[in-house]
Amino acid sequence: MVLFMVTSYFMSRSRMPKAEDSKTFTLIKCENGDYVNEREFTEGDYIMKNEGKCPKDNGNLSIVGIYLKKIQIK
Amino acid sequence: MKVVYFILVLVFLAPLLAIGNISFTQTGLDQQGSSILQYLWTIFILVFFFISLFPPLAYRMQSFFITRDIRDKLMILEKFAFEAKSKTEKLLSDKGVKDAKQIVDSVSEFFTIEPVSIEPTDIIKRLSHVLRTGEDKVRKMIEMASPNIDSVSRSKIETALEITNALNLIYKVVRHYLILAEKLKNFYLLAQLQMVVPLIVRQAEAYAKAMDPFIKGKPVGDSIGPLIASRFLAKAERKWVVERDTIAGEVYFEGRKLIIVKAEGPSSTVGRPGIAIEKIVEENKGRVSRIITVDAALKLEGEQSGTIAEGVGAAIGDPGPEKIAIERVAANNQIPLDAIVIKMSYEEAIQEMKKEIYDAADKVVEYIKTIVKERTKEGDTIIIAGIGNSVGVAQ
Repeated sequence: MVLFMVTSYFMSRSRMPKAEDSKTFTLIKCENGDYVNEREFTEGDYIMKNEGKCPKDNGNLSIVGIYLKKIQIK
Repeated sequence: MKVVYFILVLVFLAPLLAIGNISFTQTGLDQQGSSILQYLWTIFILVFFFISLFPPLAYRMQSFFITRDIRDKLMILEKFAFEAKSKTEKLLSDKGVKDAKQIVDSVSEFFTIEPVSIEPTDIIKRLSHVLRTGEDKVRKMIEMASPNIDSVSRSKIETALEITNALNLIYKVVRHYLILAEKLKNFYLLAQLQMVVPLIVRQAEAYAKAMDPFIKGKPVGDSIGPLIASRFLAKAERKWVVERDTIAGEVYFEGRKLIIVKAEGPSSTVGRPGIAIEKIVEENKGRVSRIITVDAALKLEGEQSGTIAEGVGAAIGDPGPEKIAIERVAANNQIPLDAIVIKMSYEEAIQEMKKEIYDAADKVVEYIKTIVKERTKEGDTIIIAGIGNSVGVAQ
């Protein structure tokens, strides 16, 4: 009985999914849409906030999205 | 009745005691061991039957366990209420407010009395007046405590105070019913409360988790409407404040004039989109060919978050004044009302916007463009209202 319990515990542990966590990310996009960057959210970010000039074509760079995304913890 | 129960106990007890005696003697245990087991067995049977056949005792025992269960949940609700108060006090103190505790204690007990409903004449006007008076009161309180506060920070404090008030009320109501049931020794009231408390704790947990996104200025699930509106407003030629905390913008698409309405972000506010739409229609002398409202909607269990659905009517979840303003102006001017909703759970609507809900925004934008192309003609004016809280979503 004890042997069965111990065996089933270790078998279930190996089937356990990897731990998941969630983080908030900010999506920055160029006006022309040819440059996209995703970074971690910092306080003060908001959608439609100007983030300077696009490194590719010098157009307007702005925040287009802020969302919570699941990330795998290894 | 007690005599009847006693007789019933003896009638059922006797055979079981007899069986107990026979089975122990048949196992071949030694005399001392079997007599101890016999006593234990007898005691067990006696207790079992007294409890099951003597209702008041059974109810008392069950009430004890139910009360303990409810008290455990009540401690969780108390913790949520306490943490909300602490976070709000800290937020106020960080903005330089000296008597933060006094403001939080005062607003956490704030209440709104509903207008008389037995006389429904002008009930919407009275309800709107009561709600606005409440909003103005809290706003003035914050502005007096911190005169130089900016609108975004003030809106965050208003939302934090609302959440604190809600959590405090939930805790006090559950505590009230528990104490009442204990005083009256009412088992059925306790049982009903025990059935409902897990749902209440789930809702309170959602509120408690919602504080952080609002304080940090992160868009929540309910911000999907303003997010979709902001996609159109990115190319707006003209933007103006049409009503308190509500902005509008003019965009041209395929020869049509689109007037986009949303709450003014990135403040945490829902604005007054109903009154704004009413004003815009009046300014255009009723010559609006379509009103499209976009909002978050509660999904049913089993539905996927982020799915899009279309319907008719005003997609807005306010107590009444804003929704009726849209319906009245549409009905008076024979303007078709399209409603587009993005499905999500209650928790997702008030917590940080998840990626799957965010991804729906671009799909809805394309959907709206299709509606505009298929159901209107060149030269038409269409109002598109992104309904929801605009926290973290500017224009």
